[in-house]
Amino acid sequence: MSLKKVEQVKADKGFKIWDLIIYGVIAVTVAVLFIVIFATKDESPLTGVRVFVEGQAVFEYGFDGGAVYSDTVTAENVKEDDNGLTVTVNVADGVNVIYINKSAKTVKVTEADCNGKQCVYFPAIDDNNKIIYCNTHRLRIEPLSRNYDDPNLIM
Amino acid sequence: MNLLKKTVLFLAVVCAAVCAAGCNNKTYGLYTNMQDGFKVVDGSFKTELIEGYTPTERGGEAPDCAGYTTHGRTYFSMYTDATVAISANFEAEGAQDRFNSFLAEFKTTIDDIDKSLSTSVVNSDVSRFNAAAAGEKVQISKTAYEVISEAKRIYEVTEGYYNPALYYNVLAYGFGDNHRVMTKEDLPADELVAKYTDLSSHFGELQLIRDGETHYAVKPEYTVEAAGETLTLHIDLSGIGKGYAVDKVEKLFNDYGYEFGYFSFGSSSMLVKRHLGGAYKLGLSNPRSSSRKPYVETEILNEKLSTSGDNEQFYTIEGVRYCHVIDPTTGKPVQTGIMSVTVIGGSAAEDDALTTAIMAMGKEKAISFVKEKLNDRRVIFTVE
Repeated sequence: MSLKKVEQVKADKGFKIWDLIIYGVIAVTVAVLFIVIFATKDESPLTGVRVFVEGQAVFEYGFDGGAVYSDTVTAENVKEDDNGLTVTVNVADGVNVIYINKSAKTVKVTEADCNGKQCVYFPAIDDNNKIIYCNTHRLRIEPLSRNYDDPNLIM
Repeated sequence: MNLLKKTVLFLAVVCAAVCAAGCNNKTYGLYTNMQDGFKVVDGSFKTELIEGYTPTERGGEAPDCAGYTTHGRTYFSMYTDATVAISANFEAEGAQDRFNSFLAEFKTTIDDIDKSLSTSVVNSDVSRFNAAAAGEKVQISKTAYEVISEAKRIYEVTEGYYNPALYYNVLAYGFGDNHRVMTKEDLPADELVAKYTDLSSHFGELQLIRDGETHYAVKPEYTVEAAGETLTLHIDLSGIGKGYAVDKVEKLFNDYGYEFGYFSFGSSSMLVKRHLGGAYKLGLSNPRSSSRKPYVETEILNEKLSTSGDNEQFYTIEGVRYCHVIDPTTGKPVQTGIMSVTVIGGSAAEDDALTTAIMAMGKEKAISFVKEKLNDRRVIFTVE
């Protein structure tokens, strides 16, 4: 670095006014986003899910209580890794694979051999208002503490 | 370049990236006869208003709901979920027993309808009718009689666009009781589809007879020869049955004096009473989005409604979407460009059948049908 450049850097102020304005805007934006995200978050976080096939509960997982199996979904149908569980549900005419992410507390269908694969495209269950269903396999996943008081209905 | 320029450039790049990721150039048509009272929340839908709807008062005075809480149950019936939610003062004396009694009657009601209308239950009214010979008179339950009566009426009103006799077409395309993963080789031949469609066009000849408290259905004489078999007219009332169940459950709500809550049958037909906070907010999910985010929102209060869409059950072969709704003019899954239809108000059974019919009509016919015949209810349909 030339001597002239060094002198120029020394002469510069640590922060110019526009720098401060931009940093301020970014800080305010981050603060607003933080407040919006956490203030609107469901007050009753997901505690676990129950899986139904043709209306019968076949598997249950509570993030605190662990797994409850059935004749349809046994321990052999569940594989555990560091982050969560992969649950394979064999139904009469196919299979659905569910991933329960223990750290993120989310539940999603990751694979299915039904037409359309509607269940795979459902957003992950991450609160007590969401459910996932597979019409063709008659499978439904719902929160253990399902909230029936939600004023928002989706069709 | 100073810090300001760098920051502005950085933000511009971020904004451009976000816009490129979020923007979808494809736009869809949203046709509705609601002149107001709805909000389009997805910019890819462009609204076109249809004249003719006359709004009616739906709210009424809100009852006192102090101390009310909400309880709900989900059952499985007609191959789908039946979810009921009731808000009431469950701390009041006998309220819990009353709710349990309601749930028992609710379950019996929807199960009885299923047992009557199911095509897979061997001894259901519909199964016995389907198994009967051409021209045979079959005794059926009052439930089946009422549903077939309504189906015949809507068949006439929609000029055959709602046709529950497309039974073989539904099976041939891998839906209904013949659900299977379809490939190009599995698609039925046009000649076969034409025969099935020809058979279904005789639905209007099905006769209903009422003799006191006894009810009968008489199968049309018409038959077709297909794949070495003689086929008689078969019916599948799944396109109206859930709506009929919703109408029956509304009576239960009224009998028990429940003014708050809702009943959703497979997310295709609903009874919506009143939420403790006022009206419910209904979001209709974008039929072309995997996120199921709504494209439009509207308030619902003391109404029944039904929805059909080509995203409920479908598969794609070589870029062509095959959905479970069959076009009675072609006998094939609808390719009219209409992606989804919602009808709000009136009887849920009627709405259920109407949504199926409008899917098959195509845009221009649907617009004139809504304008001329559905000015007493709210209609929204989307077009690709």
